[in-house]
Amino acid sequence: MTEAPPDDSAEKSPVPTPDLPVVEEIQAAILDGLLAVPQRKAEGKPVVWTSVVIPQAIFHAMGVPAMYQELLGGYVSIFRLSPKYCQAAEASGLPRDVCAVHRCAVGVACGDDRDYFFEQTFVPPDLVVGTNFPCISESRSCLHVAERYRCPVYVVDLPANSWGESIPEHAIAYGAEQLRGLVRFLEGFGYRLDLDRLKHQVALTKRVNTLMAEIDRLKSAVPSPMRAYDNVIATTAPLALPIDERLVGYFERLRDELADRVARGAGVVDHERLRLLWIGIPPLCDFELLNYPEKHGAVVVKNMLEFLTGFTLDPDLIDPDRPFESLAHAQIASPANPLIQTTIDYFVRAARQYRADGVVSVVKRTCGFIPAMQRMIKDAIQRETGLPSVIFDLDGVDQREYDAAATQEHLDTFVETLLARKGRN
Amino acid sequence: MGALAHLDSYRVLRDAARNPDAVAAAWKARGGKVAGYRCLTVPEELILAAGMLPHPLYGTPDPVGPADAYFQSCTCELARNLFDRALAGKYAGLDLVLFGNTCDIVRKLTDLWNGYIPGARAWLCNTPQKIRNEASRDYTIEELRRTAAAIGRVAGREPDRAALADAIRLTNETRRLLRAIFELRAGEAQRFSAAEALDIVMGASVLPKPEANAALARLLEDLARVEPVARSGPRILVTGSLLDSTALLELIEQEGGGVVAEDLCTSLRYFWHPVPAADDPFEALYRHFDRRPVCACLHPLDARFDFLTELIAAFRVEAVVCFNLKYCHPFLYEAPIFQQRLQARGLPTIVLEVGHDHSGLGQLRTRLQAFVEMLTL
Repeated sequence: MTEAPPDDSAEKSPVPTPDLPVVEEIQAAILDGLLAVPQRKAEGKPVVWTSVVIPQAIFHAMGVPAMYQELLGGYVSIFRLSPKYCQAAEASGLPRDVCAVHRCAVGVACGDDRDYFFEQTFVPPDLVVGTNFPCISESRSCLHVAERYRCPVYVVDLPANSWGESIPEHAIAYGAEQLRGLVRFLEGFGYRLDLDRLKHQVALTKRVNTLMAEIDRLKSAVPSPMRAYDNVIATTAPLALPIDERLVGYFERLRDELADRVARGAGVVDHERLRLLWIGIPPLCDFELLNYPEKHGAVVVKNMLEFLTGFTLDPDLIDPDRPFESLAHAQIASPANPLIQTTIDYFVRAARQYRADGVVSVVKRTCGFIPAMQRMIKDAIQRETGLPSVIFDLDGVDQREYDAAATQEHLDTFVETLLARKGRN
Repeated sequence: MGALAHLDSYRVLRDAARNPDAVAAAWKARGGKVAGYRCLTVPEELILAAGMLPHPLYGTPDPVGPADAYFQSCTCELARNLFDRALAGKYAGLDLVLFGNTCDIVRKLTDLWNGYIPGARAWLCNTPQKIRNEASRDYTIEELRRTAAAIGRVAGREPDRAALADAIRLTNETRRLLRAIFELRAGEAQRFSAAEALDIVMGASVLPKPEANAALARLLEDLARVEPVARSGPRILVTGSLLDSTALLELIEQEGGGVVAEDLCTSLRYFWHPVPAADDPFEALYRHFDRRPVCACLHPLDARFDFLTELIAAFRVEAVVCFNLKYCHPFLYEAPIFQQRLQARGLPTIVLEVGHDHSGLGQLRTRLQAFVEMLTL
């Protein structure tokens, strides 16, 4: 990427520079990681096209190189190439009404004209692995890639959480069996599972989640010690990087850097006036918009990517000696997994913990998952905490749908209203 | 065509299909309890065995109203229409609502129903989203048992083994009769229209099963006496999620297409395969779930495609219409794959996006005209 940026004519890189040094390193590592897959393919390893929310510990334990559709799709949008790749996906038959992230990814896989970065990161996959967690796109868009490259497909079927906090054994057993099925599927293509290595991966997963919980507590400090964009990159790391000692090291450093800031009372703005929660997919094609409210002294202190990444897995549910059951249990119990009560509990708790003043809830028109829950979350937060929310349309993935001026106007209006309200109180 | 309008056996089914609320109201008036449900993954046998009336939730072609404040306007129009009807109190007579674990929006419908609709609670029948899946047996059976218990709590009696076996016998009889009626369409002669076919299935799904079976048995006898007419136009199969109105089917036939089969949740997928025999009725329901024709919400895709090709052969289909309800993501993802596969087999296929509120039917007419003309060249 550093050798040949996809848009040489751009005056400014579309990839923002993080504020925290460790996050800048994480960002670079994520980009480098994407470049490693073609090398593994050249070594003769079958490559999997899959979703970032698959329990990746299994891939890491078996040494499976994976291309993650949301990462490729996300970078299409971040590089502001979504019009081209969405159109490529649409030319292959995907309607404009389905998820823009997935259209971007399918555009990379099924289009014929890839830009330099994607030529360096994409290889024709040999296998496809989907999942129904948390939404239908995760198991559906990949079928187009499977069809294009005639790949065998395995789908991990995780039950919806219709039980609440207590997940019953039969659901955990089924989820675990689905993951064992994934192992058997991969073994059919020459991979072998080393159970000790898997247990080690799961132990690392638990460690990362424990660190994420510590970081979450630090991030909730007033004033906020972490910019919104940094937060996105950091919380993407467990999905985009191998779960290894390096990743643990990143998070230990992040924890320490944040702890230092919190101890010094250093915030991301000089005089923090408002704290916002962000629900919905952030604008990938205009990522710095997450930092935009700072001009009003407002900080987006927590955003939904943390919730979607699955790395809100409860470390207490993870037992490395029962790796399959642990991974299944933690994912079924994740607040990203329907039904909605755990999601509501997560956001209400976040609103309180982060001492938020308001909630920005954005609707990505092509999302079949989040828009149907935003009203319930808004009402629950209002009922439980009294916090107001604003809900507005924002597809920041397909740039053809994106209107920066209107988005800033929505944010200005909401923030100014909150400031006026705060002034009255 | 309207060839069956003179038959009492057909009119009973058609009237039920056109006014399902009246059927439920009549059942309630007799002191019965009613369980509304959406999606075929909810086994109606569980409802029947508890002595309740299974009431499939069909929509109406009304424009979406207040539901837009809950769902956002980019979500499934059928779900929003059902929620509109619930907000308006149209389902106030229901004692329980069951949703299948199918698509993202139906799952959310469960949440929204419990959050905003007074009265009957909604229950998610949390069966797998993957079939042909032996590993799911224990999980599926446990979830079916939990669903049976939830129904039993409302009904006042939990479905027991004998009641479930009776319910399976009843529904299998419905399936047998419907299949016999629909197999008449495999031949050259035509006895009823596609719109009438949809009315027959929807009516059978709405009526109490003994009444439905009696009407279907009479209809089957009556059909033997109906003078068939020679079929004109290309033999078309319609595939998609569900149709709860005859408008699209009428449109295709008006434009010269001869619809011979519908791969829909409101048509052949409802009845094509019987529940297999098994000592344990839950085992039987699991086997049925694991092998029955499915919609695009469930995996694997090949299960659906295999069923489609079975129908194409059985009904000697010459062309396929894939229709997608607007914002129905599972089918939106699937349709282009099916279109490519079918065209590779030499079957002309058109993909149409249809508003549940019938918006854009005029434009569809133009496309269908061109499609049928192309087929008859």
